[in-house]
Amino acid sequence: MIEHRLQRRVALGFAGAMLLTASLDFLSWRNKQAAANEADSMAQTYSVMTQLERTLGDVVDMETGARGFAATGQELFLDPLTSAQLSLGKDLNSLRQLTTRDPNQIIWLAPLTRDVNKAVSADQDIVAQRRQNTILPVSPAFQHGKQLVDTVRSEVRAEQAEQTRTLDQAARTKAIKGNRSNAVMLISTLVEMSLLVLAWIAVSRALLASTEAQIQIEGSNVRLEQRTRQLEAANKELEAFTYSVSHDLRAPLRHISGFSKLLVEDFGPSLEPEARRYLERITQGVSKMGVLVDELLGLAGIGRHILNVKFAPLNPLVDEVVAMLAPETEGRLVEWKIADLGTVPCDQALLRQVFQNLIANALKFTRSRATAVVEIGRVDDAGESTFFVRDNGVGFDTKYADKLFGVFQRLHRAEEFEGTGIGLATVRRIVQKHGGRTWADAKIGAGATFYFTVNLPVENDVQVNNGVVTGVHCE
Amino acid sequence: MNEPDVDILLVEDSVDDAELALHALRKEKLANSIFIARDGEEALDFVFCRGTFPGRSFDHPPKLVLLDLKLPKIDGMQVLKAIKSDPRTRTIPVVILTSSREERDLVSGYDLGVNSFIQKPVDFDQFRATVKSVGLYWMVTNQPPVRADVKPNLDEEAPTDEVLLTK
Repeated sequence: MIEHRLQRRVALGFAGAMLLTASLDFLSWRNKQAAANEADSMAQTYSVMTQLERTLGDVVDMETGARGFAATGQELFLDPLTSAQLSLGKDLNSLRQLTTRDPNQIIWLAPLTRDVNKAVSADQDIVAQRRQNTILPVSPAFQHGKQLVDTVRSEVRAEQAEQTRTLDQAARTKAIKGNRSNAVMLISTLVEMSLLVLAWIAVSRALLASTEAQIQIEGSNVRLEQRTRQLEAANKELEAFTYSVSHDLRAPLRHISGFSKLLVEDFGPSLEPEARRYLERITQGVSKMGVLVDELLGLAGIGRHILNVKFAPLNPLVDEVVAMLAPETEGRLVEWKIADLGTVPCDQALLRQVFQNLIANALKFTRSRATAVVEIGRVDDAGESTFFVRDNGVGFDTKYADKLFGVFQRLHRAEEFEGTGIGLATVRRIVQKHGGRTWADAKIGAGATFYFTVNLPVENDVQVNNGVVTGVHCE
Repeated sequence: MNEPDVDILLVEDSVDDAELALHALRKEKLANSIFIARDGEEALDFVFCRGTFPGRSFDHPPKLVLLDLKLPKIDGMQVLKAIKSDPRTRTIPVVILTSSREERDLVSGYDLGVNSFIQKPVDFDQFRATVKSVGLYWMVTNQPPVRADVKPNLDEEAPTDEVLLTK
């Protein structure tokens, strides 16, 4: 449960770190891309500015050439004019291409082109007028040419200023983007590191916890082993005790019994009748104690008995018990009501003992009834099989019901009903070994019902088919 | 001169039990002679004709051994094992007659080849009836093997001083 939660937490930590790394890398890549684009457009702006400078230069060269030719009439001055005129076409063309994406292109490139063309034609006019010798040193054509050069210059300077602003902005943007990219990288690294540290902490905590749990488990295993050893030792001791009781207690009993019998046999005739009566009482006491010791040993033996569990049909078992108890019912009217008891996983020998004790009790406590009614049945409820033995005997006060199953507990005086007080304790011990419970219900003078459940795990998948007794209330 | 034959070897450390058993056996007139061994060692010496019993012979084994389990020196199970694992003695019927009814004793007793396993009843009448039926069966009803293969290996005529209880 805890391990599961921890595993999920660690997995989430790692997944988060990976996701973050991926997204931050993507962001950083985008920023780099943007910076590269910005660098591209800056390079372009530089080209525009250079081209503008070249255009201005060409216009000035052209004007200077025209002026020189006009003053000297020498063709030599026409060379720079011609080459400037040629390059001006290229200049304007490349400016147009460089600024196709500039939204302000129309605003500045069109007037510049127009004014450059005007300057070209003005200079061509000067050259033409000089060839016809119609030009004067202070001709208005010179004035016009100069004016046009100034116009072009101012236009070029204005646009250069504009381009410089663009360049500044691009540089600023580029710087911002670069900084942002760096910041993103830094933050991403920090966050990743913290996530990894958190994941590491979680993992080491989990390891520590599981190690501690392991140590605890090992500790409790050691304790359990100690406890088991102690229990085994106690069991062995109990076994030895039982053995010694079995052997040592029975022997003197045998001797008392034997020698009192011999006394009666060998010297009976010479004994007073009172003495013979005492000897008889001794013999009775001894034989009673013999039964008691044997029953106690039987009870102690159940604890050490290894269950031989089988699916046993119970009716044959109960029939055997009834037949065995036949001497008890001699000369009595007994009405047997034995339901179909089905089968149940149990140790047959022990369960026979349970039925024997309960049925013997039922017969014992119905002795005063004209007709004894003994009912044996079964009720199945919630997977638990409850068996009961009911009689119409003298019953008992239910306030003593919890005492019933204890060792040596008797609810009747010995002269009313004989017994050792071990029978029901034996029943409870056997039923406990079968994973079940025992309880009883009764009313003084109106009979008693003894219940027990059998709850052994079913090892092979055999269906329990049983008859269900109706009309019986069970807890 | 060899020692007289012994019908029953009673291995019993308790004087009281021994006397009661003797009483029962005598009353039923089942045994002419009964020897009582008071511990495991004495029982084995008797059966294997050694120690204080050099005068005994394997030719004349007891017809029945009544064996208690809880014995001084060598316990009943070991006595049983020794008798049943030696070809010279293994045909001697051994009946465990004990106070205990321990399952493990029952199992190991039969594993070692005991002929009967009987728990001594507390009640003397029952005890007497049990002794009677055991004696009747092994001394009268049961047919022992013909002992032709066992050669006497002791020939001494040393006087013996063990208590021999005869009828």
